[in-house]
Amino acid sequence: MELTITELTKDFRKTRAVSQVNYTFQSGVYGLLGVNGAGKTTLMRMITTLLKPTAGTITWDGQDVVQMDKDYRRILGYLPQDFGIYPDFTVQDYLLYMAPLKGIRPVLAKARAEEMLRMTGMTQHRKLKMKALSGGMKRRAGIAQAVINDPKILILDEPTAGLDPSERIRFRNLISELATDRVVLLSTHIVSDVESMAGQIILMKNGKFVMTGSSEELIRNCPDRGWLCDVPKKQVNDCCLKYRVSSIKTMADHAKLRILSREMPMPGAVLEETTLEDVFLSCFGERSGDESDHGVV
Amino acid sequence: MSLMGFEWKKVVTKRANQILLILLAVLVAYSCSRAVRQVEWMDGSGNAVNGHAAAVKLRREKEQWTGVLDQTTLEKALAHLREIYSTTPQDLQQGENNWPLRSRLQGIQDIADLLGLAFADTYDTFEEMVEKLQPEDLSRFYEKRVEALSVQFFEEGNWGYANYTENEKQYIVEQYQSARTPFAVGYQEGWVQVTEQLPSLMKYALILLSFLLAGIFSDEFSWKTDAVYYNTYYGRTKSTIAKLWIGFLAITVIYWLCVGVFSLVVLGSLGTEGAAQTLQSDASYWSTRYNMTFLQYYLLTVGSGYCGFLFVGYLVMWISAKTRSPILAVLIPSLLLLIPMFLHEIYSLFLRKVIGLLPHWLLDIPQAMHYVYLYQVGGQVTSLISIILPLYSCLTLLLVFLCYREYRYKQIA
Ligand SMILES: Nc1ncnc2c1ncn2[C@@H]1O[C@H](COP(=O)(O)OP(=O)(O)O)[C@@H](O)[C@H]1O
Ligand SMILES: [Mg+2]
Repeated sequence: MELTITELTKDFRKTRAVSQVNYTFQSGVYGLLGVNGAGKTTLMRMITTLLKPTAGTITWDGQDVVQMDKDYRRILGYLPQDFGIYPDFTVQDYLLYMAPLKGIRPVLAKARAEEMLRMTGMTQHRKLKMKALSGGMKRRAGIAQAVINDPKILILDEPTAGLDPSERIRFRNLISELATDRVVLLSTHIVSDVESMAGQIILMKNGKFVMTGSSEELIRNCPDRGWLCDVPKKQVNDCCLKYRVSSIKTMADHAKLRILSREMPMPGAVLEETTLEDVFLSCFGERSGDESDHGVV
Repeated sequence: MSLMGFEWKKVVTKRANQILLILLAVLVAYSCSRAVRQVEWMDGSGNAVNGHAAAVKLRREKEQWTGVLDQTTLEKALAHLREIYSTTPQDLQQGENNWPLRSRLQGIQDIADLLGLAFADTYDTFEEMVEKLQPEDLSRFYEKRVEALSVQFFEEGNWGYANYTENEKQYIVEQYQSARTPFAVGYQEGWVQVTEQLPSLMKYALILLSFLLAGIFSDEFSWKTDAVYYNTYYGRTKSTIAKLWIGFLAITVIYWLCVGVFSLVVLGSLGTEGAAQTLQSDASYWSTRYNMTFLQYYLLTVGSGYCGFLFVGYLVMWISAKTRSPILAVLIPSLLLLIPMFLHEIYSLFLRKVIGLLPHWLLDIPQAMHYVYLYQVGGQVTSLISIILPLYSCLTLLLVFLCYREYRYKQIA
């Protein structure tokens, strides 16, 4: 069970969205972490064969996935970032439709659809028309369709976007249930999501994989450390321009800053444990003096 | 439920499509009443009756003239016309309000028109013809018909711009000569009205239907279900075929329901008499080169309309699949129906002939019956209808294939 991408590249008219990426996915959960525009969706769309790469290949156990055609699609589950629904189908209709469409034999379709409803907690909403679903329920229906054919490769593009905290927890548990014996690739720009779900984390920036590894490995390899510093209030702005600041807690006359830096930024700074968030910031974060329009959490 | 079942469900649960079906029903109802109201009967003082009641009266008037239009009938008709003209006071024959004359002519109007057309070159007015025509002239009625038509066709200033070659002239004359004579005549209002009104019903129905068809493929994009759909096992194969079948089913069901209900109502109300009568026995088809009966003519109109629906339908589906949006696709039928308007502006014979092959004719056989241009296929002269039917049947198959290909290899950006 091995999904290998080699020199994978995608150019749009002006932008190179994915640039010469090499990687091998094996069974397990992979968290693709990157700011908006990093190329996550483009990469995933190529892996699902929806989008033809400009260059490079994708193979599944040594076979070219484009050549595999529908045999590849049979083992694929995909939840797009911009997931659309059939407005006048009920949730149950939808799953009963997706099952045969995904190649499940009609005799098994019903049982499979019911299992998915149960798994995603949609059983009591199964008679609802999809246009009446809330954002969270829609996404659950989306996950149900992605998993219904028991895919070997499960691609989830920003599956947690727009979920409320309890839905998010439920989703994490669902992923850990699904994690065995398949490749799960999920993208997000939310650090805490990957930390809790993904065994392997891929940091993606400007179409390239800049860092890969488990959470511990990434933290170990991160050149920056987190320092807690006490600074007078009027110096806060200067610090923000000079360093990467991951948090600011303002007190009466001074502020507690958490600064990312290789060296001790100032006397009296206290070294703290590095977190994945620090790694993310170290990788993507610009100092607030730089221009930054990315909503990085 | 099968994949096709779900595709059908996508179509019928869509609110816009439900509204569309209601509009289609309204359209059919309106067309029926319009067609039936076309039939008129008038009493001696100019009071007109329309619709079914008029049909009943008219049928009774025409009853005695039903049969073959041979020498005996022609002589009888001429005598009857003379009788009508001689017993209707002169002052009531002229002017706008010649109700008594018009009322009395109603039963024999068709035959009177045919006589007038055949002998138009010899007499200045119809009254003069009725007065002077001799029985031996009548024996040349069918000869005179071919003669009059040939002259009309070849004469400069009439159809002059068609510039027929010798081959074509010969073909035209042969077509006219091969009409089965004597004509079978009689009451045929049901068939006349049903065929006359079908084209406009078909055109509007096709415009409405295209809104439904344009959604079959493009809705996946507007619903944003495309990404998942294309990634499924059958999304690019079996399910695309299911969509193509749904298109076929929608076209077929809607077409035959519209045409069927319309025909049943109109023929039911005006009568089915005249099915075996000669098409040319109606004066408005006097000059057509297509020799057939009213029933054959009706079947041709309806069959070629269906061919047109399939062609335009799949064209709409293909364009909507290609552009991923229904907007351009729903304009296609209207554009195709607008084209004939520009035909008058074109003076190049070649261009006229090429544009003349456009598919709007399929929906308008009554107009195509009068189409003047001829085509040469493999040295053989043929006419429009014999070309467009096979041509568009083939193109439809090609479009079905293109639709399939479009979805089979579609990329989602
Ligand atoms: N269809 C497209 N046409 C042109 N540019 C695109 C298209 N899709 C994505 N891009 C560009 O490619 C880059 C990567 O986009 P995307 O893969 O959507 O990033 P992410 O999913 O990480 O937010 C962006 O700069 C985006 O503008
Ligand atoms: Mg994205």
